[in-house]
Amino acid sequence: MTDNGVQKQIKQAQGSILKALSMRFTRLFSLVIKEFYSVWRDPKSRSLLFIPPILQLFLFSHAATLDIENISLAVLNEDSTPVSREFLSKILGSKYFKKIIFTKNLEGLKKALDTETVRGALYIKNDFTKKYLAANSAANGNMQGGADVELILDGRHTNGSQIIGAYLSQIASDFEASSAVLPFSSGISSGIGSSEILITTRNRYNPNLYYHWFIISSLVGILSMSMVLLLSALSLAREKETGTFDELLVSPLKPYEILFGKLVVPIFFGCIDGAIILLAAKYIFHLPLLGSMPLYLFALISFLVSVSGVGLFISSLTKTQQQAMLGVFVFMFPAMILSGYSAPVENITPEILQNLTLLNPLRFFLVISKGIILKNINFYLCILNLIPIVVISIFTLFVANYSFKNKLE
Amino acid sequence: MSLEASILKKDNAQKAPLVEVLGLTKKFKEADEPSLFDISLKLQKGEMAALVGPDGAGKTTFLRHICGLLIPSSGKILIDGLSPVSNLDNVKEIIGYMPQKFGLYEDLTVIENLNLYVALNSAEKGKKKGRGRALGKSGEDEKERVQTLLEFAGLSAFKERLAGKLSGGMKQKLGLCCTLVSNPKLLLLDEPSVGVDPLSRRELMRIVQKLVKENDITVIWSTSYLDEAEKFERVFLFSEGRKIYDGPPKSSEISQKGGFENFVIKKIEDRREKTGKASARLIEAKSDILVPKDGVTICALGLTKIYGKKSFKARFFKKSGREEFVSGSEFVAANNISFKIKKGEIFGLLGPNGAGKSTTFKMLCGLIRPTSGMCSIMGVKMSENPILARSYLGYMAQKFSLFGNLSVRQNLNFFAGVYGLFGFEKNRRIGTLLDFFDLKKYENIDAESLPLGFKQRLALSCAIVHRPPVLFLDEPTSGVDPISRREFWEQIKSLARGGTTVLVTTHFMDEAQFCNRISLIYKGKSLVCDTPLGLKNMVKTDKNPNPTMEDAFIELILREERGKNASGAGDAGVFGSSGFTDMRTTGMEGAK
Amino acid sequence: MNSTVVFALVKKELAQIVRDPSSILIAFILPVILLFLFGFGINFDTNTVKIGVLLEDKNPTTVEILDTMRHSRFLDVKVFNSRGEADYALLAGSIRGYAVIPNDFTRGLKRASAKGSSEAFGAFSTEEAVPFGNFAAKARALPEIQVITDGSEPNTAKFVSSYVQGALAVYGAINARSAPSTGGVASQRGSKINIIERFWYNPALKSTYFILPGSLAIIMTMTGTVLTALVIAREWERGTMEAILTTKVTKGEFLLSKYAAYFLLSIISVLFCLFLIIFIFRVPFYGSFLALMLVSSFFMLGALGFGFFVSTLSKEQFVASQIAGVVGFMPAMMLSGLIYEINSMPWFLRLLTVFIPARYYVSSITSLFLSGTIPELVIRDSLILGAFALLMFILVYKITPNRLEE
Repeated sequence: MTDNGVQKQIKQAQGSILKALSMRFTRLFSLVIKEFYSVWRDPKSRSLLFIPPILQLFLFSHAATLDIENISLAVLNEDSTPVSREFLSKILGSKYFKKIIFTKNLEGLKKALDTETVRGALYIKNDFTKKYLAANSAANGNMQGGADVELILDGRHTNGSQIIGAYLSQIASDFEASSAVLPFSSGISSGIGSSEILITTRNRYNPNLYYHWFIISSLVGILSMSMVLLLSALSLAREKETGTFDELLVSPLKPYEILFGKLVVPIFFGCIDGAIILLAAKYIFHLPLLGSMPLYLFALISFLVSVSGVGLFISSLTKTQQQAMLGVFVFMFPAMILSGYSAPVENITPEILQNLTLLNPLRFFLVISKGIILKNINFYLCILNLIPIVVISIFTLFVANYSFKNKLE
Repeated sequence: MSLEASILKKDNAQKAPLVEVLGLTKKFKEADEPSLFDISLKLQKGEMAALVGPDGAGKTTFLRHICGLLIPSSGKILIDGLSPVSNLDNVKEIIGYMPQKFGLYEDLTVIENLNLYVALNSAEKGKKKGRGRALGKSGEDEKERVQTLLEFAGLSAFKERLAGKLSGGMKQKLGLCCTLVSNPKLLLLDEPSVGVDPLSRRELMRIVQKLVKENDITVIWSTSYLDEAEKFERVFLFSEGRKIYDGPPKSSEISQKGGFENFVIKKIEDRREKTGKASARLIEAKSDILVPKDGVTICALGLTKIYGKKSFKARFFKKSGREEFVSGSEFVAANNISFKIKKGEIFGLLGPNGAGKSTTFKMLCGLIRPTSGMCSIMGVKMSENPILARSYLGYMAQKFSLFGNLSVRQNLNFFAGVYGLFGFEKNRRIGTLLDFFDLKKYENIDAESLPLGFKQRLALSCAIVHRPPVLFLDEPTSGVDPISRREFWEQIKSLARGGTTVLVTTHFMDEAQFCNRISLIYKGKSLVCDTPLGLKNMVKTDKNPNPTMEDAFIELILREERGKNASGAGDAGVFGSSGFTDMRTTGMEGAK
Repeated sequence: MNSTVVFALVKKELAQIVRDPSSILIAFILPVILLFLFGFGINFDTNTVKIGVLLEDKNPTTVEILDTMRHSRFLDVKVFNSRGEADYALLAGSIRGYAVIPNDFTRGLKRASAKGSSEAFGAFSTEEAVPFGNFAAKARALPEIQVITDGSEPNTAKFVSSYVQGALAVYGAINARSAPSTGGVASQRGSKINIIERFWYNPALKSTYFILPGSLAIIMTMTGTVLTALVIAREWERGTMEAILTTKVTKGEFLLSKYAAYFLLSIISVLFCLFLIIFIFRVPFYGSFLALMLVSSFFMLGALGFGFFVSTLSKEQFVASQIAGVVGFMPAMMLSGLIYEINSMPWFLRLLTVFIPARYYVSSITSLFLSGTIPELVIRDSLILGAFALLMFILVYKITPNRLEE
């Protein structure tokens, strides 16, 4: 054996390794291309890519607010004096209240509330002015003094009603300060427990507490998740229905290669959706987008990997697209509700459910998403929330791969 | 309509044809080619006609026009002198229509299906003969009628079985019963024999023939099987929405031209020449991969697949074979199937639906793991190195499973890429295939919207894009027109000559003659394995010196059944599947 | 109309329902899952909020303030030593906000009480609460407590500031009572107008009390439409529609039987959910059961009709279920007024809610549960829902063909 021969052998070996590598690359590449086209060339799934996200972005950013405005209020005013009228006009003057409906008696008040014509009812008794003036003149610290106004709120909407209560309390306390009709105008407001701490509130990260900042930064995760789930679950189910899945299995593709092909394209489209929302967030809704975008992309991709693993797992259990849809829904709805999006995680009442959120990749991604967009969290905090996501994705991929292999028997 | 007038009309109908179609044309979209073009035909009372043509020829569209489900773009239809367009309600009384898939509610039982259709048709009676009949006495009448029908179709024993769990043949008969409850004068059957084994097909034919004789019913029966059409007295041949032949399938002219099939092919070719559709050229495939020394490319040894509940023990102790399963729950889908196929052979797996063809087939290409036994491709054992073994395979799945929303070229690109072709080599190969199969003009069209014949060509080219030494074809010709079928077989033969080994499953008996060897699969067992001629010789009798493939097939199955009855092996429990029970009963009837 | 035919068809539908596990799944299992999720997952109730407190000025007064905060049942207080620490905790999301008592707090307090209370005001200022007076000038003189909240969760941020204020008010009240003359700290200025809040219908302010009954509207929109969306499409796909069309069954008979069977199924499903809400989740029910069934029936008829409509149009189960999900579920969730306030939406969405049947059902059912039978509401909603159901029926009837094409 000459050196030449050895070299030749080495060259041949190198050649065959190269060949094997390029074969594998070709296989994977054509698989990915095929997956891409089969989503892209189908008008149904193409419209699925863009219409729902845009529609939901529009709907959510406008409709989803827990604030309450344009409130109608019923008033029974037994005390028809300038003071009470001035008080009411102050209410109407604020930006929250739209309409005041005057009623003559308590029945009217009840009816207006019952029929949901109004959200709250104000009952001003006939000693209102008298007590009010008395309270004003009293220069002592008697806390019990003052005119009582009864505010009846609709308990059928607890959240909104509490907010209305807060609005009215604010107006009431403000009323005294600016009241111009007070007959005794000087030195009166001094009294009672007057005191003297200023509380300044500063809302970090979202100074004006815009609700849609919160919504949109969560939507990136939610919408791209639903997209990836649907695409990954349905593509496999569709191949099973048409019988092309068998052809994939018969081809020399290895199970994990098929898995890879099925992952890449949904994730790609999920990222596109995420990008659309981010662009809208920046240029239409003017969110700050403080943090590092490469980091965000990295987090988004690992989140979507975990989700598409779930999608593939669902579709490996189902036979038809119909069933896959149902499966996606069964996963997606709880995932959304138990993510801290519809209610903060610590508000979820049975603690077991709170623990359950630890299995939900969306929960962690929402923290990252809000963190990067609004808070500019640092790399370390991002990674801290990324670890559970990575763990979940390893698990789901493992399960999906296993179920694939099982299909091959 | 006064009574007199209606009597007068009926008198006329006696003389006039029952079905009269004049210049029927149907365009679904203005721009499209018409689905039906200028069809005229007449059918007398008591005639039984076959409507034959490949998929997409317009058979279903035509039947739907006859029963008033569609409205013609132009032309006229008269059923017993009534137009289904303007007089739909009256036409409905005359017609019984069995749509494809038999129109059965799969989650209702046999008796429930029948009762439903009886009730639905009681509306007719109620209106025709007054309310009293519909509500009063008719209850008894209907029960009786249902009973008669059940016995007539031999379904009495399966009254409580869900329709979805019936075998193809039983569904077909139940569908027919449901259509017959309304006592129709004109029976329209849309592809009643799809997915039904040959035994049941013969049975149905007998039932309908009896109906025609005894009740003076007129029948139009649509089918894509030419051999089936040959049994009728009259045939309407449809192709691309046109009627190209109307007459008996057996005549001196036809036998001159070499039988009905050749006649049909000639007819269709004549039409094609006018439209100038080119056919594919034969592709030469030289496979340069080394073949194992003994020349055996596909080898199956005792392949067995058992489905059933796995026993508890099996999960822990990894038992294999029959011991794996809870006794009584197992169902043997394939039982000890062995064969060896040599290079360049065309080997057919023949058998009715559900016989175990597909299971065997899937075990061979590694989609199902056999319970016991082994198989190898090019000497590589499937169980040891599935990836390598599969890389020798070209696979064409049932229904030409292509990626429907990918274009023709994208489909080819994908399959080429997946098998590791790239760059110049890939493009040259795809170019050759597009050229040979005349697919160039469809290059950028979605595979979904291809005509069926071209779909088949594309599926084949996808399967051979990587020049596999072994080609697996699963039901490769179902639904395709006779010309495409013939061309397809020419391609296969040419491939085999080039050294490719071909394994094919089919339920077309006549296709069996193209194979070098056939294995007849029935109830999971390989009954015989021989050349087509050898099979025919086995059943040659004095009565039938020239048996067809179908005759051979039926005879061999009957022999098997008889053998079983004789030995008294009542193994119905093992074959828990309902699909076979039906076959057994019909088989025994035939035996009498 | 022939009763034998209708009866036979209804029987057929019921047999199909009973044998099809997916309709059982959609009618009973899915609602239960959703109900539990709504019951547990969506919760607007005031819970404990995690906040931090930073005492830059440590003396008995400020420690007392801290103690008051600690005793508040709404606050879960964690003490920090530096702003940096607290900031980081806020960033990491382990607290929702923090209060800072700055190091000149006591000095400010003394100065304020020395100045006399005549012009001093306790004041709250949040950056958004502009309309209430102008405190800036006065503010400089006052002792200050800063509250910093995590605005990335606006709803919780609001709770944080109001809870802190509440806690300080409590502190002020205690102090005022014990030593009124010392000019102690009272954050809540003694009001001359006292707003006495009362919550009718739901005095305990449990949000599940309205979310659970209200969610029935969303769940049933979902169930009703998805259930029926599949039904007619299924007949088309399986080819049985063709067979039916060639018999003499009329459109009316066909639709009537479908409505009857699925109405029966969905009413059972409604009853089942109501049972869960009343007996398992223990939501009080004050209204009349009859009125509830009346409104529910009309609502279900409309939802079923919508499903039939979608199903007849698409003729494909897959498309039908998607449309039903998107068109049925999303608007019911977003625009029914159950979760999000209709009044706060922009005008075009408010206009859109008028056409969302779930909106009327939500209003009726929450009222029936919490405030008893209110005839005006029940009648109004029944009429609207009835009209919608009728409209749907007419539409379905119109598009149900006599043939394969018209």
